[in-house]
Amino acid sequence: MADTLLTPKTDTAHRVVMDATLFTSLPRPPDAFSTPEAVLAQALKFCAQKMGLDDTQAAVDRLRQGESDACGYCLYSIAKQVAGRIGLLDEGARAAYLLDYDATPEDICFGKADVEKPIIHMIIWTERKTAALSSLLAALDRGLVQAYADVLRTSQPGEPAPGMALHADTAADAAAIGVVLDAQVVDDTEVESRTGYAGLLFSIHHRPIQIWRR
Amino acid sequence: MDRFKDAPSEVLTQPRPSLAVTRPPKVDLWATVVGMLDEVAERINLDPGIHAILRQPERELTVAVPVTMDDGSLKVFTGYRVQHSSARGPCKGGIRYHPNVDLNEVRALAALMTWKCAVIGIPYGGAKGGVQCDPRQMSRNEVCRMTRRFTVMILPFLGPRKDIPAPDVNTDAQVMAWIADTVSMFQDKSMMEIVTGKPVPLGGSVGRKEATGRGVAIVTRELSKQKNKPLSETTVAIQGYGNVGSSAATILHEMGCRIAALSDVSGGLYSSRGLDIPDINRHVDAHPGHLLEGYEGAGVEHIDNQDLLTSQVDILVPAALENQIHAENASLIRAHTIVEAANGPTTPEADEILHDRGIVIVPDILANAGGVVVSYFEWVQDLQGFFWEESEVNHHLERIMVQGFQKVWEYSQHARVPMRLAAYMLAVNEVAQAVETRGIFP
Repeated sequence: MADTLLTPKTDTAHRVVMDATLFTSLPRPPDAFSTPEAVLAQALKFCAQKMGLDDTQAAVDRLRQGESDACGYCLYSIAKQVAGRIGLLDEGARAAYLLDYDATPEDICFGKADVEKPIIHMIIWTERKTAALSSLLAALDRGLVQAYADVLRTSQPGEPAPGMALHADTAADAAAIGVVLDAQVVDDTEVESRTGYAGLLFSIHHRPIQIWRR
Repeated sequence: MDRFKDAPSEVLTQPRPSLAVTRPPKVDLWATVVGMLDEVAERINLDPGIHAILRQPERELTVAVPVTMDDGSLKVFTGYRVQHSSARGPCKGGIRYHPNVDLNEVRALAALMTWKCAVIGIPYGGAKGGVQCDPRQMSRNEVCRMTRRFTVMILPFLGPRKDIPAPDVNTDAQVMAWIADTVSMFQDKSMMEIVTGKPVPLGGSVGRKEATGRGVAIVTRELSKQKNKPLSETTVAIQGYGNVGSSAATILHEMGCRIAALSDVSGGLYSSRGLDIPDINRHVDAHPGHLLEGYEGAGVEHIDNQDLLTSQVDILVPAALENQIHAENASLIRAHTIVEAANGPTTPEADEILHDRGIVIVPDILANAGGVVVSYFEWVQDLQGFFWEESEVNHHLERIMVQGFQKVWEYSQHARVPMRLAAYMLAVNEVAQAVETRGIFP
């Protein structure tokens, strides 16, 4: 795998340079190809920093207490890290956007993130859609769901964590969380014609925030 | 409205993005808005002098907003406040926090507020503001400090009889409370009427949350009356089940409509016999993410968002995001009426296709004006220092929305133009009359 990563790519067609299924299975240093656990650890650090908390454990505690702000900061950091990794792994990726369905005058912008149902809505703009990118996103999501459920798991089997409906069975917690990464991939053709989710990149009233670009 | 369409379509003629391109081509919204004004001016034979006045914002302010960040570093943000027109009353418009905010965008949005307030008949001009920032990267304390400093920088513009901000993208009731508090500190008196969209305990209005959805339901009902179609025989599809979509669905259901299809980010539901809205609301309230996800009901099919847009219903209510009805799906829409609850859900290209197909569109500027109407009520209540019951808020909202709808509908029929064009023609005419009647100072 290391060879694959270091080998210069000579073909013109873009491709995902790492097998998505290996993303979560191989031990990796906390660098660009780190595990979902490392992504979450970094997110907790960001959360602690933004909330003025002493350490990441305090951020974990806030999450376990169901605090929306803590969840919001974690999700933002996860989104930025995921976007950066997609950029490294998919040569065709051009940009990534964070879409907040609630960031309108009709809803509130702070405190909406739901600890028990954390979800990141992203739009990935790529040269063209590939099965490899879809697999990568699915693998990322699976890894993040599991890692997030692990963080929330604090109590004994059958006993809910304080302030949480989630329980101590990680698999069941992961199933309850469902999806962390809701990533919509749009390609050049869609951006050019402004159709589907690509149309949102031209939004005035509901504009996504660009969190990464090549 | 040809010029209205021109600017966005220019994007389509640009070369295909190369690998180096990482930003979608930017539409010059201000050029689009001015083009639309020019087109309307020609159609209503607007006085050239007044036309020239309306082609420019009255006042613009660009400010530097230095903020000490939590780590001790200093960051300077750029902020804007633009007042497009105060001819009909104090300027009204939101403040948005977004990395892509720029002066042209703020100008355009300020002008759109002028037209929106005019068409619905509330005594405001139009304004807009924004700060170029990504609030999600900032702590709450940093956002608070930035908001307070920005407020002070634009303070010469603000006042309950001058310019009243409101929430917009990435700002909310908390941000409005910080603005009101900052102004109150500087004026050494309570100035809660300086902003709308405040929390109710700080002088916000009851009924604000449902106002936009309620307004959507009212114009939908009024349109059905005009078409002599009883609501009990009317089927509706609603895209988006957030604050606006769910309020509209609930009120339309109470009015007797059959809500045949709903969708949100998690997917959609369809039942030709009509969905059980109270049951769905109970499900959404109980769902951790307040989503339709996981709802099961007798005879309910699961559909996706595209299925919803093309479902066989009488009325389609896009209540989610912009640009959802576009050139590629406009020809597939089967509803005979579209009520635009979201801002800009129909692209100009789709608008033309739908018009050619005889589909009536109640434009966003009218359909979703319920929110700004109740913001106006909030300001009125704050100035009076006397607060209304929700029934009174809803009663006045009903009256204003019905009047606004009838005015646009009748003009549309009289001038034989689409409702969107009719709304803009009426709005520009209202503002022009105010400018003319007041005269030019000195």
